Amino acid sequence: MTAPHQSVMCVIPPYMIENILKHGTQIQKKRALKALTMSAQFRGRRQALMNISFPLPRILQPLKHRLIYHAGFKESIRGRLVRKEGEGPSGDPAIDEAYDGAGHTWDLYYDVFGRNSVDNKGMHLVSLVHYGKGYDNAFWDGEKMVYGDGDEDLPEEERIFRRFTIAVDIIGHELTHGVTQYEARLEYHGQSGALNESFSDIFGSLVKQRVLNHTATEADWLIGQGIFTSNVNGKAIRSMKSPGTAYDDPLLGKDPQPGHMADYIKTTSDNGGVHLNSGIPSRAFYICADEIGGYAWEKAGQIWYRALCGRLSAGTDFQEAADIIFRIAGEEYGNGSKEQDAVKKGWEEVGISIRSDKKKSI
Amino acid sequence: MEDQFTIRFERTGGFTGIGIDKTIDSLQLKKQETKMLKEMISNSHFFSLPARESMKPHPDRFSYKITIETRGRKHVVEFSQASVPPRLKDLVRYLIEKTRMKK
Ligand SMILES: [Zn+2]
Repeated sequence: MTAPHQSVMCVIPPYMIENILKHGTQIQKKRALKALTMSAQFRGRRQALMNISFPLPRILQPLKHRLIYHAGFKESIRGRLVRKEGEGPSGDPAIDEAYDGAGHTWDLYYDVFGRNSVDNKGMHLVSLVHYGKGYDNAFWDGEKMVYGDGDEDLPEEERIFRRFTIAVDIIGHELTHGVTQYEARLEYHGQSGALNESFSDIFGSLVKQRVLNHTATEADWLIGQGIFTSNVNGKAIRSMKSPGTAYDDPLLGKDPQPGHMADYIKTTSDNGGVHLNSGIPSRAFYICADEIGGYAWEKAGQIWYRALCGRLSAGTDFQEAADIIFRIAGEEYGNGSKEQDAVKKGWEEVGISIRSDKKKSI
Repeated sequence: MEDQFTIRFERTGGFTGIGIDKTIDSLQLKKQETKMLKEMISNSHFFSLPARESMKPHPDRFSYKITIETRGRKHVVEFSQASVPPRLKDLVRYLIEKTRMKK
Protein backbone atom coordinates (compact mmCIF):
# COMPACT_ATOMS: atom_id res chain seq x y z
CA MET A 1 0.00 0.00 0.00
CA THR A 2 1.29 3.38 -0.96
CA ALA A 3 -1.24 5.87 0.37
CA PRO A 4 0.20 8.46 2.71
CA HIS A 5 -0.42 8.19 6.40
CA GLN A 6 -1.03 11.93 6.59
CA SER A 7 -4.50 11.38 5.14
CA VAL A 8 -5.56 10.35 8.63
CA MET A 9 -6.05 13.46 10.71
CA CYS A 10 -6.06 12.57 14.33
CA VAL A 11 -4.58 13.73 17.55
CA ILE A 12 -2.45 10.62 17.89
CA PRO A 13 0.02 10.33 15.01
CA PRO A 14 -0.59 7.30 12.79
CA TYR A 15 2.79 5.68 13.57
CA MET A 16 1.85 5.68 17.21
CA ILE A 17 -1.54 4.12 16.49
CA GLU A 18 0.23 1.50 14.44
CA ASN A 19 2.45 0.72 17.37
CA ILE A 20 -0.43 0.56 19.80
CA LEU A 21 -2.40 -1.73 17.52
CA LYS A 22 0.60 -4.04 17.27
CA HIS A 23 1.82 -4.06 20.84
CA GLY A 24 -0.72 -2.32 23.10
CA THR A 25 -3.09 -3.80 25.63
CA GLN A 26 -6.71 -4.57 24.61
CA ILE A 27 -7.93 -1.27 26.04
CA GLN A 28 -5.17 0.69 24.32
CA LYS A 29 -5.98 -1.04 21.04
CA LYS A 30 -9.66 -0.18 21.41
CA ARG A 31 -8.89 3.47 22.12
CA ALA A 32 -6.50 3.71 19.21
CA LEU A 33 -9.05 2.25 16.86
CA LYS A 34 -11.71 4.59 18.17
CA ALA A 35 -9.46 7.59 17.53
CA LEU A 36 -8.90 6.32 14.03
CA THR A 37 -12.59 5.71 13.37
CA MET A 38 -13.57 9.09 14.72
CA SER A 39 -11.16 10.91 12.49
CA ALA A 40 -12.35 8.86 9.56
CA GLN A 41 -15.91 9.85 10.41
CA PHE A 42 -14.90 13.45 10.71
CA ARG A 43 -13.57 13.52 7.20
CA GLY A 44 -15.92 10.85 6.05
CA ARG A 45 -13.12 8.81 4.66
CA ARG A 46 -13.17 5.16 5.16
CA GLN A 47 -10.23 5.42 2.81
CA ALA A 48 -8.31 6.71 5.81
CA LEU A 49 -8.78 3.35 7.46
CA MET A 50 -8.05 1.37 4.35
CA ASN A 51 -4.82 3.23 3.71
CA ILE A 52 -3.19 2.26 6.95
CA SER A 53 -0.50 -0.22 6.10
CA PHE A 54 -0.97 -2.69 8.91
CA PRO A 55 -3.60 -5.31 9.50
CA LEU A 56 -6.35 -4.17 11.83
CA PRO A 57 -7.33 -6.81 14.35
CA ARG A 58 -10.15 -8.67 12.63
CA ILE A 59 -12.38 -8.66 15.67
CA LEU A 60 -12.48 -4.86 15.68
CA GLN A 61 -13.45 -4.51 12.04
CA PRO A 62 -17.09 -3.51 11.64
CA LEU A 63 -19.11 -6.10 9.79
CA LYS A 64 -22.67 -5.85 8.65
CA HIS A 65 -25.10 -8.34 10.04
CA ARG A 66 -28.50 -8.58 8.41
CA LEU A 67 -31.44 -10.65 9.59
CA ILE A 68 -34.68 -10.88 7.63
CA TYR A 69 -37.86 -12.17 9.26
CA HIS A 70 -41.18 -13.16 7.64
CA ALA A 71 -44.26 -11.88 9.51
CA GLY A 72 -46.53 -14.46 7.86
CA PHE A 73 -48.91 -11.72 6.60
CA LYS A 74 -49.89 -10.91 10.17
CA GLU A 75 -49.56 -7.58 11.94
CA SER A 76 -47.27 -9.17 14.46
CA ILE A 77 -43.87 -7.87 15.45
CA ARG A 78 -42.53 -11.40 15.58
CA GLY A 79 -41.66 -13.51 12.60
CA ARG A 80 -39.77 -16.46 11.27
CA LEU A 81 -36.10 -15.99 10.33
CA VAL A 82 -35.86 -16.46 6.56
CA ARG A 83 -32.47 -15.06 5.57
CA LYS A 84 -29.38 -14.15 7.51
CA GLU A 85 -26.05 -12.56 6.72
CA GLY A 86 -24.09 -14.43 4.10
CA GLU A 87 -26.96 -16.56 2.84
CA GLY A 88 -27.84 -16.44 -0.85
CA PRO A 89 -31.06 -15.04 -2.36
CA SER A 90 -34.29 -16.64 -1.22
CA GLY A 91 -36.18 -16.02 -4.45
CA ASP A 92 -38.81 -13.98 -2.60
CA PRO A 93 -38.41 -10.36 -3.80
CA ALA A 94 -39.52 -8.80 -0.49
CA ILE A 95 -36.95 -10.81 1.47
CA ASP A 96 -34.15 -10.22 -1.01
CA GLU A 97 -34.85 -6.52 -1.50
CA ALA A 98 -34.91 -5.99 2.27
CA TYR A 99 -31.59 -7.84 2.55
CA ASP A 100 -29.88 -6.01 -0.33
CA GLY A 101 -31.33 -2.61 0.61
CA ALA A 102 -30.18 -2.91 4.22
CA GLY A 103 -26.74 -3.84 2.86
CA HIS A 104 -26.57 -0.82 0.55
CA THR A 105 -27.63 1.44 3.40
CA TRP A 106 -25.04 -0.02 5.79
CA ASP A 107 -22.43 0.49 3.04
CA LEU A 108 -23.31 4.16 2.54
CA TYR A 109 -23.05 4.84 6.26
CA TYR A 110 -19.81 2.93 6.68
CA ASP A 111 -17.96 3.67 3.45
CA VAL A 112 -18.84 7.35 3.29
CA PHE A 113 -19.40 8.42 6.90
CA GLY A 114 -17.40 5.80 8.79
CA ARG A 115 -20.50 4.81 10.74
CA ASN A 116 -20.80 1.27 12.08
CA SER A 117 -24.51 0.52 11.62
CA VAL A 118 -27.56 2.30 13.01
CA ASP A 119 -26.18 2.82 16.53
CA ASN A 120 -22.54 3.15 15.40
CA LYS A 121 -21.84 0.12 17.57
CA GLY A 122 -22.48 -2.60 15.04
CA MET A 123 -26.18 -3.15 15.72
CA HIS A 124 -27.72 -5.98 13.69
CA LEU A 125 -29.96 -4.80 10.88
CA VAL A 126 -33.28 -6.54 11.41
CA SER A 127 -36.08 -6.40 8.85
CA LEU A 128 -39.58 -7.82 9.05
CA VAL A 129 -41.27 -8.36 5.68
CA HIS A 130 -44.77 -9.52 4.63
CA TYR A 131 -46.20 -7.57 7.54
CA GLY A 132 -50.01 -7.67 7.58
CA LYS A 133 -52.41 -8.06 4.71
CA GLY A 134 -53.03 -5.11 2.45
CA TYR A 135 -50.66 -3.09 4.60
CA ASP A 136 -49.71 0.03 2.61
CA ASN A 137 -46.80 1.13 4.73
CA ALA A 138 -43.26 0.71 6.00
CA PHE A 139 -41.97 1.92 9.34
CA TRP A 140 -39.13 1.84 11.85
CA ASP A 141 -40.40 0.45 15.17
CA GLY A 142 -37.45 1.62 17.25
CA GLU A 143 -35.46 -1.59 16.68
CA LYS A 144 -36.17 -2.82 13.19
CA MET A 145 -37.59 -2.06 9.78
CA VAL A 146 -41.09 -3.32 9.00
CA TYR A 147 -42.49 -3.61 5.47
CA GLY A 148 -45.99 -4.25 4.18
CA ASP A 149 -46.82 -5.83 0.83
CA GLY A 150 -49.01 -2.95 -0.34
CA ASP A 151 -52.06 -4.13 -2.26
CA GLU A 152 -50.60 -7.38 -3.53
CA ASP A 153 -53.62 -9.23 -2.06
CA LEU A 154 -56.08 -7.34 -4.31
CA PRO A 155 -56.96 -8.07 -7.95
CA GLU A 156 -54.41 -6.30 -10.15
CA GLU A 157 -56.82 -3.69 -11.50
CA GLU A 158 -57.65 -2.48 -7.96
CA ARG A 159 -54.11 -2.13 -6.68
CA ILE A 160 -52.56 1.22 -5.78
CA PHE A 161 -49.37 0.24 -3.94
CA ARG A 162 -46.78 -2.39 -4.62
CA ARG A 163 -44.59 -3.90 -1.90
CA PHE A 164 -42.70 -1.37 0.21
CA THR A 165 -39.27 -2.95 -0.26
CA ILE A 166 -39.40 -2.18 -3.97
CA ALA A 167 -37.47 1.11 -3.71
CA VAL A 168 -34.05 1.08 -2.03
CA ASP A 169 -34.53 4.65 -0.80
CA ILE A 170 -37.49 3.49 1.33
CA ILE A 171 -35.13 1.07 3.07
CA GLY A 172 -32.55 3.82 3.51
CA HIS A 173 -35.32 6.07 4.81
CA GLU A 174 -36.42 3.61 7.49
CA LEU A 175 -32.88 2.82 8.65
CA THR A 176 -32.11 6.51 8.86
CA HIS A 177 -34.99 6.88 11.34
CA GLY A 178 -32.87 4.52 13.43
CA VAL A 179 -29.74 6.66 13.00
CA THR A 180 -31.71 9.78 13.97
CA GLN A 181 -33.02 7.94 17.03
CA TYR A 182 -29.42 7.40 18.20
CA GLU A 183 -28.14 10.85 17.17
CA ALA A 184 -30.10 14.12 16.94
CA ARG A 185 -33.26 12.43 18.32
CA LEU A 186 -35.36 14.96 16.44
CA GLU A 187 -38.82 15.03 18.01
CA TYR A 188 -41.35 13.58 15.64
CA HIS A 189 -43.74 16.50 15.34
CA GLY A 190 -43.78 19.96 13.82
CA GLN A 191 -40.58 21.30 12.25
CA SER A 192 -38.21 18.97 14.13
CA GLY A 193 -40.39 16.10 12.90
CA ALA A 194 -40.29 17.39 9.33
CA LEU A 195 -36.47 17.57 9.66
CA ASN A 196 -36.49 13.98 10.96
CA GLU A 197 -38.47 12.97 7.85
CA SER A 198 -36.24 15.04 5.59
CA PHE A 199 -33.03 13.40 6.89
CA SER A 200 -34.62 10.02 6.18
CA ASP A 201 -35.47 11.03 2.61
CA ILE A 202 -32.05 12.62 2.07
CA PHE A 203 -30.00 9.61 3.18
CA GLY A 204 -32.51 7.24 1.56
CA SER A 205 -31.99 9.02 -1.73
CA LEU A 206 -28.20 8.99 -1.24
CA VAL A 207 -28.32 5.21 -0.86
CA LYS A 208 -30.08 4.98 -4.21
CA GLN A 209 -27.79 7.52 -5.89
CA ARG A 210 -24.72 5.61 -4.74
CA VAL A 211 -26.10 2.27 -5.94
CA LEU A 212 -26.78 3.83 -9.35
CA ASN A 213 -23.53 5.82 -9.33
CA HIS A 214 -25.49 8.99 -10.09
CA THR A 215 -24.18 12.49 -9.58
CA ALA A 216 -26.49 15.09 -8.03
CA THR A 217 -27.41 16.27 -11.50
CA GLU A 218 -28.06 12.78 -12.84
CA ALA A 219 -30.13 11.64 -9.86
CA ASP A 220 -33.95 11.64 -10.00
CA TRP A 221 -34.35 12.73 -6.33
CA LEU A 222 -37.55 10.68 -6.12
CA ILE A 223 -38.64 8.84 -3.00
CA GLY A 224 -40.53 5.60 -3.48
CA GLN A 225 -40.24 5.35 -7.22
CA GLY A 226 -41.98 2.18 -8.42
CA ILE A 227 -44.22 1.86 -5.38
CA PHE A 228 -47.34 2.89 -7.33
CA THR A 229 -48.89 0.38 -9.72
CA SER A 230 -49.67 1.46 -13.29
CA ASN A 231 -53.25 2.20 -12.11
CA VAL A 232 -51.95 5.38 -10.46
CA ASN A 233 -50.94 8.57 -12.21
CA GLY A 234 -47.71 9.18 -10.36
CA LYS A 235 -44.02 8.42 -10.51
CA ALA A 236 -43.22 8.27 -6.79
CA ILE A 237 -44.37 9.29 -3.31
CA ARG A 238 -42.22 12.41 -3.03
CA SER A 239 -39.89 14.51 -5.15
CA MET A 240 -37.06 16.26 -3.32
CA LYS A 241 -36.14 18.21 -6.43
CA SER A 242 -39.67 19.40 -7.07
CA PRO A 243 -41.91 18.80 -4.05
CA GLY A 244 -45.59 18.59 -4.97
CA THR A 245 -45.07 16.93 -8.36
CA ALA A 246 -44.63 13.24 -7.50
CA TYR A 247 -48.24 12.25 -8.25
CA ASP A 248 -51.55 13.69 -9.38
CA ASP A 249 -54.27 11.09 -9.38
CA PRO A 250 -58.09 11.15 -9.35
CA LEU A 251 -58.26 8.87 -6.30
CA LEU A 252 -55.19 10.00 -4.34
CA GLY A 253 -55.31 13.67 -5.25
CA LYS A 254 -52.22 15.74 -5.92
CA ASP A 255 -48.91 15.40 -4.09
CA PRO A 256 -49.38 18.03 -1.34
CA GLN A 257 -45.71 18.64 -0.43
CA PRO A 258 -44.54 22.25 -0.28
CA GLY A 259 -41.05 23.21 -1.44
CA HIS A 260 -40.99 26.72 0.03
CA MET A 261 -41.73 28.34 3.40
CA ALA A 262 -44.45 30.44 1.73
CA ASP A 263 -46.43 27.20 1.29
CA TYR A 264 -45.65 25.71 4.73
CA ILE A 265 -48.64 23.62 5.83
CA LYS A 266 -50.04 24.28 9.27
CA THR A 267 -51.94 21.21 10.39
CA THR A 268 -52.39 18.94 13.38
CA SER A 269 -52.61 15.82 11.18
CA ASP A 270 -49.58 13.63 10.62
CA ASN A 271 -47.88 15.02 13.74
CA GLY A 272 -48.03 18.49 12.27
CA GLY A 273 -47.48 17.49 8.65
CA VAL A 274 -44.08 15.87 9.10
CA HIS A 275 -44.37 14.05 5.75
CA LEU A 276 -45.54 17.23 4.04
CA ASN A 277 -43.28 20.02 5.29
CA SER A 278 -40.22 17.81 4.94
CA GLY A 279 -40.35 18.88 1.29
CA ILE A 280 -38.89 22.25 2.31
CA PRO A 281 -35.57 21.09 3.92
CA SER A 282 -35.30 18.24 1.41
CA ARG A 283 -35.41 20.68 -1.48
CA ALA A 284 -32.79 22.86 0.27
CA PHE A 285 -30.52 19.81 0.31
CA TYR A 286 -31.17 19.07 -3.37
CA ILE A 287 -30.39 22.65 -4.40
CA CYS A 288 -27.19 22.64 -2.33
CA ALA A 289 -26.00 19.28 -3.70
CA ASP A 290 -26.80 20.25 -7.28
CA GLU A 291 -24.97 23.55 -6.84
CA ILE A 292 -21.84 21.86 -5.48
CA GLY A 293 -21.95 19.23 -8.23
CA GLY A 294 -20.47 15.74 -8.28
CA TYR A 295 -21.78 12.99 -6.03
CA ALA A 296 -24.23 14.36 -3.47
CA TRP A 297 -22.95 12.10 -0.68
CA GLU A 298 -19.40 13.44 -0.91
CA LYS A 299 -19.92 17.01 0.25
CA ALA A 300 -23.56 17.95 0.83
CA GLY A 301 -24.17 14.51 2.39
CA GLN A 302 -21.14 14.94 4.59
CA ILE A 303 -22.29 18.35 5.86
CA TRP A 304 -25.82 17.12 6.60
CA TYR A 305 -24.45 13.97 8.27
CA ARG A 306 -22.34 16.05 10.61
CA ALA A 307 -25.42 18.11 11.45
CA LEU A 308 -27.42 14.97 12.26
CA CYS A 309 -24.65 13.45 14.35
CA GLY A 310 -23.61 15.88 17.03
CA ARG A 311 -25.01 19.26 16.14
CA LEU A 312 -28.79 19.19 15.82
CA SER A 313 -30.88 18.42 18.88
CA ALA A 314 -34.37 17.17 19.63
CA GLY A 315 -36.19 20.47 19.25
CA THR A 316 -34.27 21.99 16.32
CA ASP A 317 -36.47 23.89 13.86
CA PHE A 318 -35.81 24.75 10.19
CA GLN A 319 -34.10 28.08 10.92
CA GLU A 320 -31.75 26.60 13.52
CA ALA A 321 -30.97 23.66 11.25
CA ALA A 322 -30.16 26.01 8.37
CA ASP A 323 -27.86 28.13 10.57
CA ILE A 324 -26.05 25.10 12.00
CA ILE A 325 -25.62 23.44 8.60
CA PHE A 326 -24.24 26.73 7.22
CA ARG A 327 -21.68 26.89 10.05
CA ILE A 328 -20.66 23.26 9.51
CA ALA A 329 -20.06 23.98 5.81
CA GLY A 330 -17.81 26.85 6.88
CA GLU A 331 -15.87 24.66 9.31
CA GLU A 332 -15.43 21.89 6.76
CA TYR A 333 -14.76 23.83 3.60
CA GLY A 334 -14.02 27.37 4.76
CA ASN A 335 -16.14 30.45 5.28
CA GLY A 336 -17.18 31.87 1.93
CA SER A 337 -16.28 28.61 0.17
CA LYS A 338 -18.28 27.38 -2.80
CA GLU A 339 -19.74 24.67 -0.56
CA GLN A 340 -20.87 27.13 2.09
CA ASP A 341 -22.39 29.39 -0.56
CA ALA A 342 -24.27 26.39 -1.92
CA VAL A 343 -25.73 25.68 1.53
CA LYS A 344 -26.82 29.30 1.80
CA LYS A 345 -28.38 29.20 -1.65
CA GLY A 346 -30.24 25.98 -0.86
CA TRP A 347 -31.92 27.41 2.23
CA GLU A 348 -32.52 30.82 0.70
CA GLU A 349 -34.35 29.33 -2.26
CA VAL A 350 -36.81 27.62 0.07
CA GLY A 351 -37.37 30.88 1.95
CA ILE A 352 -34.95 30.58 4.87
CA SER A 353 -32.21 33.21 5.22
CA ILE A 354 -29.15 32.20 7.19
CA ARG A 355 -28.57 34.10 10.42
CA SER A 356 -24.80 34.10 10.34
CA ASP A 357 -24.24 35.59 13.75
CA LYS A 358 -20.67 34.51 14.42
CA LYS A 359 -20.92 35.12 18.15
CA LYS A 360 -23.69 32.58 18.42
CA SER A 361 -21.98 29.25 18.46
CA ILE A 362 -23.52 25.84 18.86
CA MET B 1 -76.74 2.32 21.12
CA GLU B 2 -79.13 3.91 18.62
CA ASP B 3 -80.03 2.44 15.23
CA GLN B 4 -78.85 5.52 13.39
CA PHE B 5 -75.25 6.65 13.62
CA THR B 6 -72.29 7.82 11.59
CA ILE B 7 -68.69 6.78 11.97
CA ARG B 8 -65.94 8.98 10.62
CA PHE B 9 -62.62 7.22 10.21
CA GLU B 10 -59.46 9.23 9.60
CA ARG B 11 -56.01 7.81 8.97
CA THR B 12 -52.98 10.11 8.80
CA GLY B 13 -49.23 9.63 8.69
CA GLY B 14 -47.50 6.53 7.43
CA PHE B 15 -44.46 6.55 5.16
CA THR B 16 -46.51 7.87 2.23
CA GLY B 17 -48.33 10.54 4.23
CA ILE B 18 -51.40 9.73 2.11
CA GLY B 19 -54.44 9.95 4.37
CA ILE B 20 -57.89 8.38 4.46
CA ASP B 21 -60.99 10.27 5.64
CA LYS B 22 -64.29 8.45 5.19
CA THR B 23 -67.66 8.53 6.87
CA ILE B 24 -69.88 5.51 7.20
CA ASP B 25 -73.59 6.18 7.59
CA SER B 26 -75.72 3.45 9.15
CA LEU B 27 -78.57 4.40 6.82
CA GLN B 28 -76.50 3.22 3.88
CA LEU B 29 -75.63 -0.15 5.37
CA LYS B 30 -77.46 -3.44 5.19
CA LYS B 31 -79.39 -4.34 8.34
CA GLN B 32 -77.01 -7.16 9.16
CA GLU B 33 -73.94 -4.90 8.94
CA THR B 34 -75.59 -2.22 11.07
CA LYS B 35 -76.40 -4.81 13.69
CA MET B 36 -72.82 -6.09 13.74
CA LEU B 37 -71.40 -2.56 13.97
CA LYS B 38 -73.75 -1.63 16.80
CA GLU B 39 -72.53 -4.63 18.73
CA MET B 40 -68.89 -3.76 18.09
CA ILE B 41 -69.42 -0.20 19.27
CA SER B 42 -71.31 -1.30 22.38
CA ASN B 43 -68.73 -3.94 23.26
CA SER B 44 -65.90 -1.43 22.94
CA HIS B 45 -67.63 1.01 25.34
CA PHE B 46 -66.57 3.59 22.77
CA PHE B 47 -68.28 6.53 24.44
CA SER B 48 -66.34 6.02 27.65
CA LEU B 49 -62.90 5.63 26.05
CA PRO B 50 -60.40 8.43 26.68
CA ALA B 51 -60.16 10.89 23.79
CA ARG B 52 -56.46 10.36 23.36
CA GLU B 53 -54.59 7.16 23.91
CA SER B 54 -50.85 7.53 24.36
CA MET B 55 -49.95 9.45 21.24
CA LYS B 56 -46.18 9.14 21.48
CA PRO B 57 -45.31 9.56 17.83
CA HIS B 58 -43.56 6.73 16.05
CA PRO B 59 -41.79 7.28 12.72
CA ASP B 60 -44.04 6.42 9.78
CA ARG B 61 -46.74 4.76 11.86
CA PHE B 62 -50.36 5.47 11.03
CA SER B 63 -52.44 7.61 13.37
CA TYR B 64 -56.17 6.98 13.60
CA LYS B 65 -59.09 9.15 14.64
CA ILE B 66 -62.59 7.74 15.05
CA THR B 67 -65.63 9.98 15.50
CA ILE B 68 -68.99 8.36 16.25
CA GLU B 69 -72.13 10.45 16.22
CA THR B 70 -75.53 9.24 17.16
CA ARG B 71 -78.64 11.08 18.29
CA GLY B 72 -77.48 13.56 20.92
CA ARG B 73 -74.07 11.99 21.41
CA LYS B 74 -70.69 12.48 19.80
CA HIS B 75 -67.32 11.11 20.82
CA VAL B 76 -63.84 11.23 19.30
CA VAL B 77 -60.97 8.86 20.02
CA GLU B 78 -57.42 9.26 18.69
CA PHE B 79 -54.57 6.77 18.87
CA SER B 80 -51.49 5.52 17.05
CA GLN B 81 -51.28 2.23 15.19
CA ALA B 82 -48.69 1.33 17.81
CA SER B 83 -51.22 1.69 20.63
CA VAL B 84 -54.68 0.65 19.47
CA PRO B 85 -56.92 0.37 22.56
CA PRO B 86 -57.52 -3.38 22.98
CA ARG B 87 -61.29 -2.89 23.16
CA LEU B 88 -61.23 -1.18 19.75
CA LYS B 89 -59.26 -3.85 17.86
CA ASP B 90 -62.30 -5.40 16.10
CA LEU B 91 -63.83 -2.07 15.17
CA VAL B 92 -60.50 -0.77 13.84
CA ARG B 93 -59.99 -3.92 11.77
CA TYR B 94 -63.47 -3.48 10.31
CA LEU B 95 -62.92 0.22 9.54
CA ILE B 96 -59.54 -0.34 7.91
CA GLU B 97 -61.01 -2.94 5.58
CA LYS B 98 -64.18 -0.93 4.92
CA THR B 99 -62.34 2.30 4.05
CA ARG B 100 -59.46 0.75 2.15
CA MET B 101 -58.53 2.65 -0.98
CA LYS B 102 -59.02 0.67 -4.15
CA LYS B 103 -58.91 1.58 -7.81
ZN1 LIG C 1 -40.29 8.36 7.75
